Amino acid sequence: MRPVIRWGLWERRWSSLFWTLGISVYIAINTLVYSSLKGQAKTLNHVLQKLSPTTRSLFSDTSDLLSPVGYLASKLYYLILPLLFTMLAVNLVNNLFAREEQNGTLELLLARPLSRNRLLLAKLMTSLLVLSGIGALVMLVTIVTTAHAGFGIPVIHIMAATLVMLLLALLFSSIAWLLVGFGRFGRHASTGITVLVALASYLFTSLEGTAHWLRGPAKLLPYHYYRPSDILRGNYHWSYFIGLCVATFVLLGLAFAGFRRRDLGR
Amino acid sequence: MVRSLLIIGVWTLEINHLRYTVEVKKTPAINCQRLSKRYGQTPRYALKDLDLQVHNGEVYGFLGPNGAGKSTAIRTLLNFLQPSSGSATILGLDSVRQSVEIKRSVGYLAGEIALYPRMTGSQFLNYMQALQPLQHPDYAAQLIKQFNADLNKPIETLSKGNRQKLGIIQAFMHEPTVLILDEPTSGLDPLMQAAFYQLVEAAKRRGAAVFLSSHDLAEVRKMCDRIGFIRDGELIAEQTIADLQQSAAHRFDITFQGPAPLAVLKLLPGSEVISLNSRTVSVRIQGNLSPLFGILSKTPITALEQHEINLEEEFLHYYRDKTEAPV
Repeated sequence: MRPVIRWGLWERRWSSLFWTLGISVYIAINTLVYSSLKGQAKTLNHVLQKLSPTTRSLFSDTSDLLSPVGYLASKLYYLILPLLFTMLAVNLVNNLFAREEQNGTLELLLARPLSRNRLLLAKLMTSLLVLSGIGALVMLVTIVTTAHAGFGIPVIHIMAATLVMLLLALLFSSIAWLLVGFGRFGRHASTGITVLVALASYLFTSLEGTAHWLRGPAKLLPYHYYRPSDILRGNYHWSYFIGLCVATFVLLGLAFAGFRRRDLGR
Repeated sequence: MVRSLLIIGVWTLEINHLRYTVEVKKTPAINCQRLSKRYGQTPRYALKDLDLQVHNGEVYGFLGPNGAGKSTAIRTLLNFLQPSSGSATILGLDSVRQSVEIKRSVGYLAGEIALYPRMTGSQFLNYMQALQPLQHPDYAAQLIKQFNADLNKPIETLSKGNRQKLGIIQAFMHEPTVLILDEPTSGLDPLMQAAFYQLVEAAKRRGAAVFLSSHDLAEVRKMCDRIGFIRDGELIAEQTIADLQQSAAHRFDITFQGPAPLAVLKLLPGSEVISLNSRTVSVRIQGNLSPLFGILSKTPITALEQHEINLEEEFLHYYRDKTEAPV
């Protein structure tokens, strides 16, 4: 298992570096400009309040978009970071697993004394290591830049928000693992379906406040249980976190079950 | 009394061990029983009721045209595909339930081998070695030398032949007891093909069972002890190379200086003669070639051309003769 993880990490070294740099620059720019906006927060908030509730709900899970928590949630944690990390996680499923199956190199590995479970686990571990590595660096950048810009949000809350955001991305990527595990769809279709579920989840949750009929379906989707403003304020119900963990484990367990007894494709 | 009981105990253990050893040696290295594979709900079988045994120290050639089911059989044996029905064992272990144990003793070369394009040859072999440690690291070095493999360039820049060399080395380097090779000489130049034949011969000498697929009868003749012919997913014929050599027909196009001695040629036992023009004939002859060359030595000829044997035709011909029924 270790050689598979080692090679996976080595192969993804440059793309991981560029993902880290890209996200870090985005975070740095957005957090550092906050100090210049802070003085005009009241006026800007007044302007933003004139936007329709539907539009506002697409930016954040809080109506107060220019308070330190509201700003950090709307600019980073509500949409952009989960979106970027979901893309990264799904991309990892594709490159580490689906592409290897399509190219035929997965057979090369399974011709060695390595069970399907251990191979899938090795690929999953590689993906987790890359995600958590990039996540840790991004969290560090957020902590440093928010401290510099004077957000005044406790470090532990930023750490918690990053952790839940990573879990959400992992949960979405576990849909991709499930699809490639069962091998029913090609790698592009798996990506498409996963992104579609993630976007639907985001839209349903964002709009449930204004379209009441969405409340029921939204409760079935993971985004509903991701509340970055609550996490940043320290009011998060950690039972939601446990629920997200359980859902992730169930999906990954199903992916393992599917992969164990299916034909390998080329 | 105690001493006698001890002696009896030791004898019983030795006899059991001997029995076990004999059993293991008798068990075919590869054993397929009515192994079938159907993709999804399609009615057509890609592999149907394959019954086949390959023994230790035997080289078995699995022949058939493209799309006949050779790769399906191999991929099912290696548990890359789940059998629809039937079963297979390798070294007495079930190919589905004990696949990981099997792979400790198997070397596999895929048809149209897929490697990691960005790795160098050396990185690739190290990776494979890390997943399955070698018994004798010197042996891998010897193989690299024997095949003159280029280990420093990225695989994506290598020619097909050079990639195939890496595939062969990774399949043989851990000295497996069973070798499963899908079109192993594809892309190799004649010199490397000869090196490969030597490698197979050496594996056979150390008792390995070799199961290889090919669509080239001439190549299989050089390496195999026994061959099976597969068509439309079914094994339609199986025979030893010695039998095939005896039964195989040769076809010659002969141009004579003067008129072709048709009447004499037609008298040759086991021959079919077709006149192409007044001086050229096509002779298909089975078995002993001496009478034909006896005639040719007495009649001046200007050209003699031997044709490649059509594998399927040869097999079907053989089987029509044997069963007197169309296959």
